[in-house]
Amino acid sequence: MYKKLNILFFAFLFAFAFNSIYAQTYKVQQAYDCVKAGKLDSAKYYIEFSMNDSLAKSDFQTWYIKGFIYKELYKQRESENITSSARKIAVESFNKALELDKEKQQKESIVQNLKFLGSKYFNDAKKTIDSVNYTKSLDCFNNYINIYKSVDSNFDEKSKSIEYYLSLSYYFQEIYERSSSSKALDKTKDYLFKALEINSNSIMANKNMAVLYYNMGVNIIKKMDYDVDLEELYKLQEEATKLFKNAEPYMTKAYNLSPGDRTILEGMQGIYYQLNDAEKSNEFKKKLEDLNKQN
Amino acid sequence: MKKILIFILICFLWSFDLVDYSLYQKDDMPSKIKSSFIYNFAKSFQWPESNNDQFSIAILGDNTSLLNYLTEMSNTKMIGTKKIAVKKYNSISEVSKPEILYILPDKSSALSDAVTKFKGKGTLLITEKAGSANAGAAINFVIENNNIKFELNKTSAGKAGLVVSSKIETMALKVF
Repeated sequence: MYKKLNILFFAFLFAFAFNSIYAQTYKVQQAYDCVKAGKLDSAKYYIEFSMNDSLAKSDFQTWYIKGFIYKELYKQRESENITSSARKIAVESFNKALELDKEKQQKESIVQNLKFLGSKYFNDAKKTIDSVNYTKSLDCFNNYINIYKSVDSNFDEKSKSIEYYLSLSYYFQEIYERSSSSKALDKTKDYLFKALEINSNSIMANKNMAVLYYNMGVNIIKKMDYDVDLEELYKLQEEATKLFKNAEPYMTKAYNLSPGDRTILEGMQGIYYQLNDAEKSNEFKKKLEDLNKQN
Repeated sequence: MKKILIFILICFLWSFDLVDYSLYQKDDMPSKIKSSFIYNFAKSFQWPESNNDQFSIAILGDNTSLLNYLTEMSNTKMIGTKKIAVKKYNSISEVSKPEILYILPDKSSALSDAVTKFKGKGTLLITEKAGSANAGAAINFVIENNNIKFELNKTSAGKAGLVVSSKIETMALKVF
């Protein structure tokens, strides 16, 4: 991909070098010469200087070169920096170039450069998807989404967003399971709800929401001391039952959407078991056994 | 073929790790709840004086998780100054004279034999089958609105030589 991008860029530069308009924009020409010579700091200086020239500033090719210079700066010096300003400027410049390139002369090349930078945002979103860096991860993910949806008409924003929010909710759920942190629990729910808002028929989102409530119920009883008095025992049991009941509609929806999913069948069996509904629990136990016989 | 493999690899790398049930807990909570009930009964009923240095809980029938929870409980709790001993049995004839005998549903037919065998011997009979409180069990677990509750048969408890606390009576769903 890098090789193709560079070929496209230098093909562009070749055309650019003979473009008479740029006789007027000497600084852009100098920026171009510096890029060609690999002198990125000088190239940056000249391209920024050329931005004072209104003629240069209104031409897509200036922005294209600027985008390329900053992309190279990002690649060579800031590729490990998830908040890289060079990458941000590169994206802004390529977007501006795309906007100004009315005749779509360099559309393919600009789009490929944007996709490249978008993919880097995606990788950073994935790399930082944890409880500490999640705001940075969210920023990276939003940048990725914004880039891709603007350049790829086939891009499935919804499914990517659901995947992302489910992953994010998972990290918070892990923390909640370990520490019982109410903040982590809230975040887990928030991101699961976000996934369900995008697609209420997401099997995974429904299943994970059910598991969250289910585990909350289990945790109440697990933490309970054996010598809790009877009033407290009733109270805790009712709290847990309420959570198992909260889990039930989500798991049922997941089951209706994917009745042959083993983990969902286990989930249905488990929820009804904890709800002391032996009849329904056994019904799903039998379905699981039947499924096992088939396979 | 190579192109297809590369495409699959890209699709794989370009997705987040979807979480599927790795956090699903499979603990048997009804058994933990029943164990806690049993501990409450052990503390709240009054048993005839005995020289036993252990408080014995016998389980008749199969329920591994209940047995595990009761065993866990016995490792950390005591009844007064007595250690708790939990043991599983397959037949009523094997059971000697426990303080509590919990008859599981798969052995519910043994209830009448147990009533006869332990009459006046200070054994609290616990069951979990509809109608058992009327058939000689002092405590019978029942389900109400998806919660575990219990019925109390004071007469059966009295015949077994046990004194029921007012707390148990108050908390029972039904008292016979």
